[in-house]
Amino acid sequence: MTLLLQIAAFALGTYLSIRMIVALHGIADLWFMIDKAWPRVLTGVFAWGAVIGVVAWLMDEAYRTALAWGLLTYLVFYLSLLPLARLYFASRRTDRQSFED
Amino acid sequence: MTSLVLSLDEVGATHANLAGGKGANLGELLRNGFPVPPGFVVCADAYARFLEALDLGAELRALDSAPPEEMVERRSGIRARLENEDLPRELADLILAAHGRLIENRGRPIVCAVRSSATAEDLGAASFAGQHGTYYYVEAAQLLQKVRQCWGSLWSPEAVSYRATHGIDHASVSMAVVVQEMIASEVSGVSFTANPVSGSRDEVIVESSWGMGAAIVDGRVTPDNYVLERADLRVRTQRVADKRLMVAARLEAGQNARLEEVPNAMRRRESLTPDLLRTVAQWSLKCAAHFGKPQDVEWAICDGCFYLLQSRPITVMGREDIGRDIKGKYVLFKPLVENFTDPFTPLAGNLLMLIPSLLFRSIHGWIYVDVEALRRPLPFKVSAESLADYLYSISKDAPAWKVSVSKLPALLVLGFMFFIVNVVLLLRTRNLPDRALDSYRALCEKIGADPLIGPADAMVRLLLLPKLRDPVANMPLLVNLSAVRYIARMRVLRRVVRRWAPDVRADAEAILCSGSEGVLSAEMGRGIWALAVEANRNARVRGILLAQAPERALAELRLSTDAREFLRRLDGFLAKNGHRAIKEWELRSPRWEENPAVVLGMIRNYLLIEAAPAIHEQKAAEARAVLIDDLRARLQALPLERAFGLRQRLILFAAERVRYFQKMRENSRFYYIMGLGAVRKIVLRIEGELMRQGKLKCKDDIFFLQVNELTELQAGRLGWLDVEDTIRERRIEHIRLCKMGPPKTIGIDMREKYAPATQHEGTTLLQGQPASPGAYEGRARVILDPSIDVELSPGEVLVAPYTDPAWTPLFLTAGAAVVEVGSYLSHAGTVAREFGMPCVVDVAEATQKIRNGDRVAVDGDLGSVRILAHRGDA
Repeated sequence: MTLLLQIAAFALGTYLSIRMIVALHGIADLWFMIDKAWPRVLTGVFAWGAVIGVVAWLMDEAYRTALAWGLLTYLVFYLSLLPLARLYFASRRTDRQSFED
Repeated sequence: MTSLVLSLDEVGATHANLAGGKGANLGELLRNGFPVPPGFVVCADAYARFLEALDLGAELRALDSAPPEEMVERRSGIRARLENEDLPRELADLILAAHGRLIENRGRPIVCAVRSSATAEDLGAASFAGQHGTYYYVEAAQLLQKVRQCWGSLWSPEAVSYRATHGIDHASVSMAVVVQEMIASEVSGVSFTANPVSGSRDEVIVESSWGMGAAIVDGRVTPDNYVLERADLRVRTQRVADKRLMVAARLEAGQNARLEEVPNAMRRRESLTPDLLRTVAQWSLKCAAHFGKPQDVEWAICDGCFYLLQSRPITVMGREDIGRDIKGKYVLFKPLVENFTDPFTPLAGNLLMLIPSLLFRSIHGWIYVDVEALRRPLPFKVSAESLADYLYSISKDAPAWKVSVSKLPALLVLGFMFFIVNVVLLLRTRNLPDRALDSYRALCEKIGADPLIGPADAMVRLLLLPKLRDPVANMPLLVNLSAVRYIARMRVLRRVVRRWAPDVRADAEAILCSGSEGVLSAEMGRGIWALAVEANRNARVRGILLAQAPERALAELRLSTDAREFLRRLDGFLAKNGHRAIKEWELRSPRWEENPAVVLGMIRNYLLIEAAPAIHEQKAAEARAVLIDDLRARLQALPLERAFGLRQRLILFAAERVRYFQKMRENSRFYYIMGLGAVRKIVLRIEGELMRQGKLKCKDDIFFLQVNELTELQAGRLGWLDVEDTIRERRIEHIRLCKMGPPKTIGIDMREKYAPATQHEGTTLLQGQPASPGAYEGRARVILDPSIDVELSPGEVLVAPYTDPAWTPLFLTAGAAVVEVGSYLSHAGTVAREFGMPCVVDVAEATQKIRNGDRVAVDGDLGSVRILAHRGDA
């Protein structure tokens, strides 16, 4: 049962990580109109931050660790996507192949 | 004369071994009374004599067994010796003497064309197209050098590689050289005694333009096009092109570039009078009769006289031959081809396919979907043919495929991975404001103006992978990808509407999702309308716009003080929409900011009609309101609906979601095109530099290079002589492919979805896909290019090969639309539904089967078009 709950906590951490990343993306996405959009952006960031904090505070130590792993795993995964995509695309770019080929 | 140099009239069809294919052909025509310009042939024996003098025989014989790594060096060595060493004295004297006689017979100084005429040109399937040298405007002083260069071109990398590929012995080929007087033509062109695209032998095609013919053959100008009945030479269709450039026959003092702008007054004028057109067609048919097979004839008109420059059999490669040597199963990528049917130029195609994709492949410049690569992971029992059919039709209905249980686990894994990677994107783009991509414009301007960024890097940064500091850079791509969700939302909407209100009108979903609020291309249409309103306010501006061709109108407006306000607003419009263009996915297409005359053409079109676009929008809004009332009344009868109205709310919510994602999809395209505009600026800047350095000679040539060739040119590792023939060959191939159009599928024998044109009770019935409901009867107007054929009288039926946002103003004038390619979701269908007019898309060869002035009945419910009466019969 504990293991199942830990898995659930991990999944919840992943979900909350996704929502937090989306909320943080709002800063860049709405930067061009940040003078008007800042309440919406900050509300998103603080609301999801608060949810993470409250959920973590309510949990027992064992589940809190699983939640933190969920949060961290998706964050690392997400941050690695761009450099991985860069490597992949750079290796496949046809214009960088030798002309003689 | 000896057999080293012969007068053209001394050779005939049987002398191909001596005079080469081209020389023998021209001699044959001249002997038989055809008006071929005089000249002489430096025969293949002369080439053999030169090789002997250079002692190259043994080296040539050894070439076939040479190791590949030595090939480049040996070939270059042979070419250098042929081009640089002097001809034997006796041979040089013979050539110069023949040239002297040519001048003497004409009684005035002339310039000559020096053309290769290889003896292997008649070797079965080997065409040697564009591989051997041709030189124009050659004077006596350069004659011997050009003859040597023709011989040297037998040893160009392309020619050697071509012979190696086709198993032709290097030592077996020989070359004659034809030296002919150049005709200083006022008009020139090509004609075909059978339709080279359809293969029809009932037609004669004539293409003509001002000046020398090189510009047409190389595709630097779009010529006037005439289709004549072979039987009586009656003009079946004619299209006068906007001929912007011409190759001048004579150079003015101080002028060194032959390609020049056509004077405004001549650009849209017919280049052939009816008499000359008939003369051209008659001589072309005489050539066909003489050789006993359809001919492709190059000709010129000088001082009203017709000259035959070349006649050769038409090599008809049908559309079905395209991609025959390619393995796999492919279907055209419809979202691109429904916006323009031409293949991409090499540079544009190369940049768009910079990162090879698993699903897409560029074949002859058209983008195809790899059906097998897509079919493999799909959890359905579906054949490649059915999938291709579905991908090409893009219907609003879901396909009825059976689920393949064995594929489900793999798909679940793939789906989960897709979700994990894209979930952030899907959530980010759920509710973006309309102006979400505004900052992309600033990024495009920054990158477009940066001299250190090349086109390939710009393409990647603007459309694919952002730098960390420019997170907006790939937003158009991401928004576009995530907006595909509208298809699933549309299915949900359709399902709930049909479940709860099964008898509601057939196009209910389309009406519920209509509305162009926040759609940038619709705002662009409104912007053009606002300019028309401004022009209407000022009688002088209106008069200029209506009386003059757009280019001339623009010049006059700039001179008129009355037009200041109009021009100020035009500049404002261009600042926002100037990156758009006709055929805007193609980098080669000039943007509106470069050529605002196209916008003036659209404004002019608006000036000719009474109705404002707002009327269409109002009509659509009213229809939506009536439908919602109708739905509400129908839903009231269902349990609990009167109390909570949940079903109605769900329907309206689903419709709002579809509208939102459709809007984001359309807007992302607006910014995509902006990114392409920035890349074009970079390409044009490089083109300017290369032209200044003499590495490119003609505008637009750059678009016929590959990205890595461009890099090599910039680095100085390639020069003009290395790319000249390649560019020329690619231009010719591009024109041929444009005329032919793409095959829908490659490697798949897809059954035609619609029956071919049939005759019924004296009318011709064409079938297509219904895209907007309603029925309409009216006179047809075939428009192939909205920048040229801008006039569409109110109520006429628009018949078009494809449409994109540049065509939108024409929809306002039209009573109905018939389009050759497209789908329910294509631009034509979407705009037609928005404007409440019937529209049928995917009507094969509509622009050829329907002629201007024909009376047609369009049924947008059944997807049929009936030609009731042809022009003249009505």
